[in-house]
Amino acid sequence: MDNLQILLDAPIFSVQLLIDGLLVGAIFALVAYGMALVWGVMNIINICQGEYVMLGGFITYLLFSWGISPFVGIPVAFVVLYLVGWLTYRVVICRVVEQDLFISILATFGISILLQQLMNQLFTADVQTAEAGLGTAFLFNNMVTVPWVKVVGFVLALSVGVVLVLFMGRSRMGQAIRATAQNARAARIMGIDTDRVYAVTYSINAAICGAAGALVVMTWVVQAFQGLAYTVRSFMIVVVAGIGNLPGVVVAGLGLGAAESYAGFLLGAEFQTAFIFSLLVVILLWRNYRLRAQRKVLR
Amino acid sequence: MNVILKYTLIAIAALAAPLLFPEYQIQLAWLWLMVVFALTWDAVGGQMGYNSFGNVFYFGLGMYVTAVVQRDLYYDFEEYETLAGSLDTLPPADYLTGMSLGLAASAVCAVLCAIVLGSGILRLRGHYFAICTLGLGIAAGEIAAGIDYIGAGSGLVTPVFPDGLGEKGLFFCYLLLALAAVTFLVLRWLYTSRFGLAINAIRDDEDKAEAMGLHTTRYKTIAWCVSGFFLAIAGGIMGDLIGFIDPVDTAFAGATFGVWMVLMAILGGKGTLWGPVIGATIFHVTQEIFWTFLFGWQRVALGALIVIIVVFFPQGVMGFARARWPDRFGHRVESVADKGATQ
Amino acid sequence: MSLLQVKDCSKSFGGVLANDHISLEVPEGQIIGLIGPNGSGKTTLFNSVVGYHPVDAGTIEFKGQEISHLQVPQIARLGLLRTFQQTRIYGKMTCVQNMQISVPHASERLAEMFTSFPAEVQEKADAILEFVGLYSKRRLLAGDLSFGQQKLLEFGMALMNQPRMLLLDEPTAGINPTLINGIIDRLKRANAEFGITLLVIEHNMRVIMNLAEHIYCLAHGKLLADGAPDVIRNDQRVIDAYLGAH
Repeated sequence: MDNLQILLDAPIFSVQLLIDGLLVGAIFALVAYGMALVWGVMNIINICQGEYVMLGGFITYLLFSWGISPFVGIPVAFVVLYLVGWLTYRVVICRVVEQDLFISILATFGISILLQQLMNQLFTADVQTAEAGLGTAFLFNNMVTVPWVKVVGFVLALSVGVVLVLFMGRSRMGQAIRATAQNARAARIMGIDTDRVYAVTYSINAAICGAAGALVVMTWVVQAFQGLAYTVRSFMIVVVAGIGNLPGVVVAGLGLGAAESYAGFLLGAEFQTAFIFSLLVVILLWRNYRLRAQRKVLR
Repeated sequence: MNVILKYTLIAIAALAAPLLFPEYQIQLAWLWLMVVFALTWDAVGGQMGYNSFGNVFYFGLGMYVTAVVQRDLYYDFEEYETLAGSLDTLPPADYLTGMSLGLAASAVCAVLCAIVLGSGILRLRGHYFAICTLGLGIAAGEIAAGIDYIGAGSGLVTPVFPDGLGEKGLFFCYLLLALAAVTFLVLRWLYTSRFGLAINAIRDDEDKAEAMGLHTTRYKTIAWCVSGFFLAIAGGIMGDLIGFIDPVDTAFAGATFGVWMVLMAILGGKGTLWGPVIGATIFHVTQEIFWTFLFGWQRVALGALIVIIVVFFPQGVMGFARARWPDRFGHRVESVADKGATQ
Repeated sequence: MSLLQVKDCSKSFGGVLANDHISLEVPEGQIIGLIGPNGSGKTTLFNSVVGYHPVDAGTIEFKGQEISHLQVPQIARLGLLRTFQQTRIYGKMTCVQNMQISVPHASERLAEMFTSFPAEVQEKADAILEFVGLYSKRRLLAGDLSFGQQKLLEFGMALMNQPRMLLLDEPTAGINPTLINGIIDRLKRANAEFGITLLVIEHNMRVIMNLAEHIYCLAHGKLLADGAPDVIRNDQRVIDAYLGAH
């Protein structure tokens, strides 16, 4: 708690933490948007969400190690993860999509373990990063440093989000997805190929995660076992915001980024993971406690 | 008679196995641990429908509490921390006393934790419960890794097994066998009582159970306490067997033990008495084969195995048998004329 | 004094007033009907009575005791039970087990939770299964029964619980018309032989006129009329509400 004193003595650190947190929070919001999409449309909580982020990160890192700019990694990871998502849907997800929720949680948990161990074998458990080389901005008499790549990442994350929202609102496929989300059976009766809708939804989600992973490896690091933390972050954001609430997802994502940034500083980096997972427990209990006044439970 | 004969045969086989195959003693000890894992998970997940990924919390808790009790009873904290395993081994009597007290303390701690945590977490339903418990298990590991008193991230060494208690493998093999047997018999008794039907009712439709006036909270808490009680004891024993506690990889190992217990129960058949035992056996053998032949890729293969079992065989061995031969499980239409005959 | 007394009960969901100052009384030992067009607030009233959600205003008294602040299981243990519109039974348990676990829980002590059911419970379960006509299916999983049989099982479970009063949400909905008479008959016998007071939501006019001694009619969340079946049958407001005249 010594760091609290520092924070009180020099409030400018607060600005630094807030900016860091908000910039990374946009990426959290992007991944959470994908999770909300799959959850809302397919009624699946995708536990391997974080592994898709990690996969996108490693693809970008691989390109980077071959001398290709990490920015190229964003579209490449998007496309590759779309294919990975499609394949996963065809092999596994389509068989669990209309089953008990716990079955799909466990199946995607299995995929998550499979992918993290696979990456562990291929890339070892070391931490990797891909330097975009954009330099750093200095604000407030050099008291606050902002790497440009984080700003670019923030903007790109929001742009991907905007494109997706437009796709959902304007395109035929987007309409079909929204219709399926509201009532899959009715959509099927009205001639929508829900199987295809599910495949596209799941693949788009994987692709979003891939793009987010590319941003993560540029602004931060990628590591084989980091996936679950991203899954849990997305889950928390969706639980706080609600499934169909896009502005809520953005606000909750940015908020989580800021909260993590402060927690990392105050508690020390070694408690960062502990903070995320404890926060998950606390948020769920708190939400449920609030509902108890109306004699309801989270479901 | 038939039942008694069956149980006697199984008991004889289980008692003789480590003597007949001494090189497999440690493997057998792990097998009994897996049986305890699967049985305790199934009590909450299979029989009550509360699918938990966080039962490993009690395992880790038991491991740490037992180790700390053993350490603080007979060793100086400073000395133990610096010299770790190179200290003199305890006299067998002290070792056993420390271990029993440790196990008792861990069981008490687990039950208390189950009551306190259960009051909040057991009110969550379905997937929210599953993910909350997942968070609980991992958070516990990460927090344990930051506490210096229990060795923080570099882990905690447990007291060395003393001479004079026989072979270490045999000792722990029988200890874990006893635990597995007691767990099995206690659960068997519980499932035939009112408690068993009540948690089954909660699994099938908790809203209905509440509407019928069941004390759902009480039943749920008791089930979680029972599960935690045996897991904590298993954890304490395993800590002494392994000799070293890593917070994330052995104690609160959510991604391995935490998932395995679920998988074993499903593989054998959720919500049945023998299912978890069968599932644990099949799983343990499979896992050992993977370990022997897949050098390094075994964990990848385990991930694939989870997906395959969950997707293609979610009903498990016992579930399959029940659907295939419902008569054997007593699900048949009885004509009214039978009534006189059966009474 | 009435067994159940609802006074000025109101409940709204996000601006929609589902129950608007509803009062009704259920005297001990009677069969009372509750009718009204779809969306008139009947099920909301049921849910308020059995504690599914808190009421916004008003009081609900059962056996003279205020219950609107109690939770669902507490109210059930007082002897006020409900059945569901979408029938709910324990699908993966056998019919006998469904019956056994439905014994009254009001006086259940901790030690009792770990004992087996005494022989009386078994005999009673068999007797009630015979009463509802499911004796031969007693060893089948409840989830494998047909919808109508599940309805009967749910009714049997409610009887097993020995309630003072039973709230039935559309007991004949989705039932084969030839079985409906059987259900009416069993409801009347439950009332007469077991002394259970009944409050019944029903859309089938023939059933409710045949069954109830007194009928309340709701429309648009308000109490429209109440009286004996003959009075209700000829009440112009009730006819208008059902035929859609405004």
